[in-house]
Amino acid sequence: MSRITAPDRVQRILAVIPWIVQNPGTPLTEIAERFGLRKEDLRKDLELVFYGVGLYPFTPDVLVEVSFDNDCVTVNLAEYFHRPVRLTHEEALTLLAGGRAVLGRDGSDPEGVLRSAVQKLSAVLGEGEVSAVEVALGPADPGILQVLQQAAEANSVLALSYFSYGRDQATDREVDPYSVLSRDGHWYLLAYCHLMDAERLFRVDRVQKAQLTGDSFEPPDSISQVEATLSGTSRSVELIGPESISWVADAYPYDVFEQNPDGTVRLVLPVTATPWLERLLLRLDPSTVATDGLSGESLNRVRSAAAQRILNRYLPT
Amino acid sequence: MARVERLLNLVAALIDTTTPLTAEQIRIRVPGYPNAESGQSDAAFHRAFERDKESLREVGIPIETVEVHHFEQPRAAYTIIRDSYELPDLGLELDELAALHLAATMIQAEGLDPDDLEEGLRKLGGLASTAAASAAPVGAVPMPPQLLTLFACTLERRVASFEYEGAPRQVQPYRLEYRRGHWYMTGFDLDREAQRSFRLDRLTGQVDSGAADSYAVPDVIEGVLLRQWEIGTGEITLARVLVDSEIAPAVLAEDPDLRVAETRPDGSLVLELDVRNPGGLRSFMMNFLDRAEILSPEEFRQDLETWLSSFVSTQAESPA
Repeated sequence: MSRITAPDRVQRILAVIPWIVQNPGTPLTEIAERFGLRKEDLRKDLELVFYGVGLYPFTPDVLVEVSFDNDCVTVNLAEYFHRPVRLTHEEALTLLAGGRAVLGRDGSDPEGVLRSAVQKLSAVLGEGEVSAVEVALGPADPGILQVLQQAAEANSVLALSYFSYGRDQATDREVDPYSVLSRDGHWYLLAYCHLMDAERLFRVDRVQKAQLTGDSFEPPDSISQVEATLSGTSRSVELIGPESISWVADAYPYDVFEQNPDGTVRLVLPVTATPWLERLLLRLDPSTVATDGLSGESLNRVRSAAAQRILNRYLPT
Repeated sequence: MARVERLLNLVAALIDTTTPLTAEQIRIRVPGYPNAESGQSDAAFHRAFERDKESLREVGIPIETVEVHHFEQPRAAYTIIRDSYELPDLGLELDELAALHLAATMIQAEGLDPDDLEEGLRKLGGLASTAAASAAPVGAVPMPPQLLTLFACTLERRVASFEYEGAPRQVQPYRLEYRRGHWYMTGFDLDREAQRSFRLDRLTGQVDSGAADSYAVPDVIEGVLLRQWEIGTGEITLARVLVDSEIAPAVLAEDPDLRVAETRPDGSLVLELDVRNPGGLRSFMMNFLDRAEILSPEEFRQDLETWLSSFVSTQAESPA
């Protein structure tokens, strides 16, 4: 018997028994497979129910009757255990959120099977007209997402045209796609980038084109996923400004976030690229003092130059 | 595994009974409890019974406690009400069960026990998808504890009380949405007498829930507003924004529902935005630096020029 606590085993038995009651004569092997159980465990569960469960005063008419006929199981019992227990909130949330998340992807349910399953689940949970839970995994072109997923599965090298907001330009590169995943509301491609000679995370909504090159690659044994995001940044910026700039701490990873007694806040955060820094500085209150984290130099000039560049578009020509 | 049998018999007895049973009645009807004949104390029985009740409630079995008055003194008695215990038949076809299994496997519910998925599926009729065993997760969605309480409130229409941005709130939750990496709850804020959205990671402390079925959910609910220029109570002003061709695909990929009024021959786009919050528009424009421009109205152009000029003049004052 696999190690399992008594309440968990009770939960399992109460979920499986009603199905067996309603589907008499099903082979034990088939039941075990359907419920993801080992056959020996299932048999022990049934024996336990057979020998030990009933109603006071435990006369034969209130005992559970389990019969094995050529390994086919039939269970007869009184009125109890005819239906499984209602879903717990954890179970309902896992199923509903999973279903809604997948439905939110274009082309994920061509036959409408999942949609009707989620509707049935929703009806039983008493959701009503307005769905209680909606999950958006992130914006992504379904065509590109599909190409990336297929390439990752088949170990096919891809040619990408990728727009980097950090550098503000699209570049062409070849990558070995490892996996496609949604994190924090965005889709990412984890891949080995031939241009950078390193593993990188690519935002799928910034992949403008993806094509198979026809080459394939050897997938590595292990993938160092976490470090892939912010590697290669040694620059940092220190910001001191009014309380209104605190939103920065919510929006970006930071190294330091302090609230000073005089009501100002101090933040130190890594800088990924100059355009990123410019657009951050231009969104902060003009009284904010920004300095380079390493040299301690004022970044006023960077900020001013960026502002002037934009202003040039607005000047009469 | 005598305790498994005892627990199962306890559940059967509480479902079967037409009147709630007191602890003493349960001790007689359910075998396996410490009893007087074998010299075990009442205290040992009560400890075992309390533990059993708690264990069963933890796995989702709704044991009700009621007070009965047919003794000299009122006593607690227990029952399981069939309607709150039994899961109605969803009528799922096997392929629907498989689709649900596969979908829920592909999404990692971070913070929930993976066993919850299997347990839920068993109640619905089994683990029907063979593809699920080898399916790679395509997405991870965090499921913080507050979400679970708010989910229960939303389904059961219970008022949720919590602290948000330093102030206590009482809200009738309508919907939970996961957007751009954050959970939001939209509902009717009873103190402010208006519909509001709350970001779950800004809730502090625990969420308390009120009585069930205490309000009705409207038929139509506006979603969470994520576009910064749309958040606000001001009148709508239509703004036209030019986006250069180099960044146009990236802008549309990020928000595919943006209204494109015009695509110019060079590939640049004119977007139409409904602006309630000019500060939000300015912040949005800064994403594009000098690759985008507000075309109209003039007052928004002016506002942006004033904002940018304040940075330029700051530099003029500092020593070069």
